[in-house]
Amino acid sequence: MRKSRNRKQANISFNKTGYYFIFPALITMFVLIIYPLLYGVYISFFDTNLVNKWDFVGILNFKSILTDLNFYKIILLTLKFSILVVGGHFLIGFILAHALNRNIRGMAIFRSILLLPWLFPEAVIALIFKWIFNPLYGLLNHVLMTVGLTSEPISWLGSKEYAFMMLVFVCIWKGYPMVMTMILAGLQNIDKTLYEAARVDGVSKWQEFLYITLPSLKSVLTVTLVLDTVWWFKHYTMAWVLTNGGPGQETSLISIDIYKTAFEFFDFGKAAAMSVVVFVVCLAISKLYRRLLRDE
Amino acid sequence: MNKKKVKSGKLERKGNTGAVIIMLFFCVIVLLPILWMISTSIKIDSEMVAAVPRWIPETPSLVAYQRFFKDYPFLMQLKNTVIYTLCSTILIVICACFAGYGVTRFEFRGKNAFMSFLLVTQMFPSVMLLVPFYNVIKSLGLLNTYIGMILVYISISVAFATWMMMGFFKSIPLELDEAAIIDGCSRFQTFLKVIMPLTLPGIASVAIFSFITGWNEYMFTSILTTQANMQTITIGITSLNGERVMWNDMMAASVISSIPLVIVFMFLQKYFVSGMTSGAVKG
Amino acid sequence: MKYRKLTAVLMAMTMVAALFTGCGSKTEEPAQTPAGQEAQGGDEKSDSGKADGEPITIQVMSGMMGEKVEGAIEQEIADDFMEKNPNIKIEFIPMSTNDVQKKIITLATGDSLPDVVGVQPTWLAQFEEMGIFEDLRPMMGEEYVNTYFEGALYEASVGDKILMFPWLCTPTALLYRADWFEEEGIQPPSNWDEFLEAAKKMTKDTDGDGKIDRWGFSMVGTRNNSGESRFVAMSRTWGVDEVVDNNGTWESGFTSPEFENFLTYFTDLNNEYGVVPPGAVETGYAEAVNYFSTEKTAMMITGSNAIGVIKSQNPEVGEKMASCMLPTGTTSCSATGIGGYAISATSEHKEEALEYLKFTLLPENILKFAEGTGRMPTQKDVMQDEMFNQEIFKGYVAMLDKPYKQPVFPGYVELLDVAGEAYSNIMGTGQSVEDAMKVVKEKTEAILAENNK
Repeated sequence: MRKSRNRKQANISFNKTGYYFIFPALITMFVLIIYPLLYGVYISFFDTNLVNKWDFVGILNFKSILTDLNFYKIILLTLKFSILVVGGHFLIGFILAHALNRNIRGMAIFRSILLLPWLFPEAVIALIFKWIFNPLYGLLNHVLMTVGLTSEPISWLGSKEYAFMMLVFVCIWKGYPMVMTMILAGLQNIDKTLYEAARVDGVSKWQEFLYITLPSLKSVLTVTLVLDTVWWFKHYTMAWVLTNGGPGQETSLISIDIYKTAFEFFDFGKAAAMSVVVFVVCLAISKLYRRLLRDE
Repeated sequence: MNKKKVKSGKLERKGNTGAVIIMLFFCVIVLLPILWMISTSIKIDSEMVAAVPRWIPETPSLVAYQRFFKDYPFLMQLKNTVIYTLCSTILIVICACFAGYGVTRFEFRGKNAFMSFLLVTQMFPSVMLLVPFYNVIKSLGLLNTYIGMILVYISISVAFATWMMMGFFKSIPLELDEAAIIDGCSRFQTFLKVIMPLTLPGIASVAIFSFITGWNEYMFTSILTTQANMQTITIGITSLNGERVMWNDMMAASVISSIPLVIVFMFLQKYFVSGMTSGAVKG
Repeated sequence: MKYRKLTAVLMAMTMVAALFTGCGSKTEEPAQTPAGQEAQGGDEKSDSGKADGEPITIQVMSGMMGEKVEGAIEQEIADDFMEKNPNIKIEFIPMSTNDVQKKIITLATGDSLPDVVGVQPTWLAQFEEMGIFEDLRPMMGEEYVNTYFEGALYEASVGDKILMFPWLCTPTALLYRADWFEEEGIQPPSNWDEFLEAAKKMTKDTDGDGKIDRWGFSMVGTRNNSGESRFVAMSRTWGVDEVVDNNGTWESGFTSPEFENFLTYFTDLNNEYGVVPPGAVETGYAEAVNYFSTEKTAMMITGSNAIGVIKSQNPEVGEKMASCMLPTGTTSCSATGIGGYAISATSEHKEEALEYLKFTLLPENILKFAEGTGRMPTQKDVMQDEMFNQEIFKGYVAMLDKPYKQPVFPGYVELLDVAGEAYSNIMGTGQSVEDAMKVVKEKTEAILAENNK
């Protein structure tokens, strides 16, 4: 239906108008982003300190990364991390957006409280959780030990069993309000008459969700999903503050490696090459999503 | 408005109870750490790190809040943050609305390329963009200027905002445009007077997103500003995480800095509940 | 209708913002900023006037300005200097200690480093390679250079060049609870066996509820620079050199049996003897200091700067602690651990900048730091001050005489990371020392090979 109308639309509008509309967004992105992106790709072919050493090394940086088994491990770990985090965001985001999408008195208070995690800087959130998880004077162990659930203090961020899950938990806690807000806005944007019509036809709640809600949310969901995944795939701050990538390699996300390689080991070429790989992975993820969700 | 409610009142109410329980549960999880922040912010220095955590400090004190205004340049940083964030949010919303509308209402060459380009810009690890970003801003002569920083903030959020707005515009039937044009509106009038009002929830959510993202931006701002009087409150707060962590000051500053965000959200969230309902009546 | 309201509000907000911006450009008086910065065309350096008497501005990028106590002292000294030199203005550029390298590199690529840049010796080799800092030796003059401790000079230099102006130092020593040691009737440990024994004695259940609530050693076990540099400070006394220059070929002690022994000893403190608080791997410097100041631990291996932090967190503990030399293994040594300032090669006011730095090193200025923060002077004469006869400084002063001379090796931080990975894995994920050593050897050799090319 929409397709055919689109075509009709194309007939009544003339081409150039479209450019006027995208011009402001295009120009800012072009000025600010194009050069940095190209620069990033460019230095991946050099052995460089960015100031006075520029040795062209061809694809050597890529070769050394791609032949390193550890690199794949880290990529996989990061994938696992972002899938869990983004999955958590969407699960909680969906549940809460649905719950919030009602006319109950005092809803504004719920909306504001549930938004709170989003409002604080990442570093502050990470620090406060690091404190809460501290084995000796942290709140969590204190509560668990008072209740009697554990007799020995547990090292939440320093043990193999918990560190990764705790990191994922904190990242879900911090990031779900964004997804929730977007889904909520999407829900509000759905034409209510669709639901009324469906109800007349006696459609079940579940079918309603499947055939009205989801399709209407599709484009909002797609972009939120793509970008949320990409952002968390590149995520850095929380992991660095909470665990420094430890214990061992358990929470060593790819961005931590990139950061270390660039600004601690001063191997910018290699870090750029790693970034290019991350870029390609992100691109693949978004292609995959968009194919799965068939967003034209 | 409430016709629907009357129809399936019972079912709805049952759903509401469940919804409230779910929300209460999540509120508790959300609030615990935040209450801890608040509790820390009213502790005095010697109580900050105690072997046994206490919710209510022995000697509650607002000294950290006093220091916020007296000892730190937070007020100036707050001013900078407001300028960067507010200006960039307004410009982002404008850019995104235009682009979103243009992309859904017109066919033109390079449309898909443009949208993909926006996405692609989000995919390179940002820590590697610092150096080139700095050099771009420098060569534009915009280092340590409000305009420069606003540009940076725009570039961080505009891609997501545009994609979101495209989604929202897409869900609005094209008949409305056609009807408006037949009624004699120009393209621009149609966009401004007929279609944009219908996407208020979308605009509000995009504005919230840009505002919060800008407010909490740390990395680019901290590297790209080389003057104390251009820094933001997030930098100020984070810098308290030094060798000795000034927990109470940091938490007090975080709490104060989140208040404007809550206000902005309270203001914008009203538009969540409007949207299509009011629009459909008009259409 | 709602829409119109929104438009109105947006307009209003824009106007408010415009107002703010307007104010911003008008009210950029020094009073507005703590450090008294002047709004000025960004990084274009204060090129106003080179002739005498004309006012000039020296920009100082300081990591200490963010620290409450240190920042205040530094500002005080700068204010004093400006009063005595009315034509020179000191303008601080704030920098978070976590962002040092990022900021220096970024500014260096734009040729826009400020005149004076706060640095640690850690990355000096790379900065030398970039040629972004001035060699200070000719400017300082031999006489002045000789006022410094040997270790401080060594760390500030790359080859013959002095690339940073040594300012303060924080040697590594052992901080311990003198009162508890007295209670147990034991002496502070002089070697690592005694250290372990003392740690075992200190680890106990003090309130009789059947749970250990006090531990012997505040270990920093995080896999970052802070944890790793403490780790190697200890391993050096076991005769392990991270890296040595053997006639032009880099070699590393990380592949040696001594290193394996030490790695076993270090990780056993946690895994085997349990003399460190639970969660060693997640215990960073801040947490380890907290444990010490909340009376949870009895010993800590740390730089003297921890004294200031502990004193401010818990003055009572501050009274009860003392310092002694690092336990001895096969040798006794400690890095001097300097911090200081480099003068950037692009600065137009190098002489004035050095003049300012020398002013800050005057005893009456630099000693302010020692009292409040535990950071010690880098010049021999100043160390004669009676302040350093206190128990609390004893160990640190003694360590200054045994400077460890670590060669400048470009892959050094990478090498440290190898050690960090090893102990983090052994204590955090239960990896065996043998397996960890395999990785250590492999990675160390790769790093050496890279730099031996």
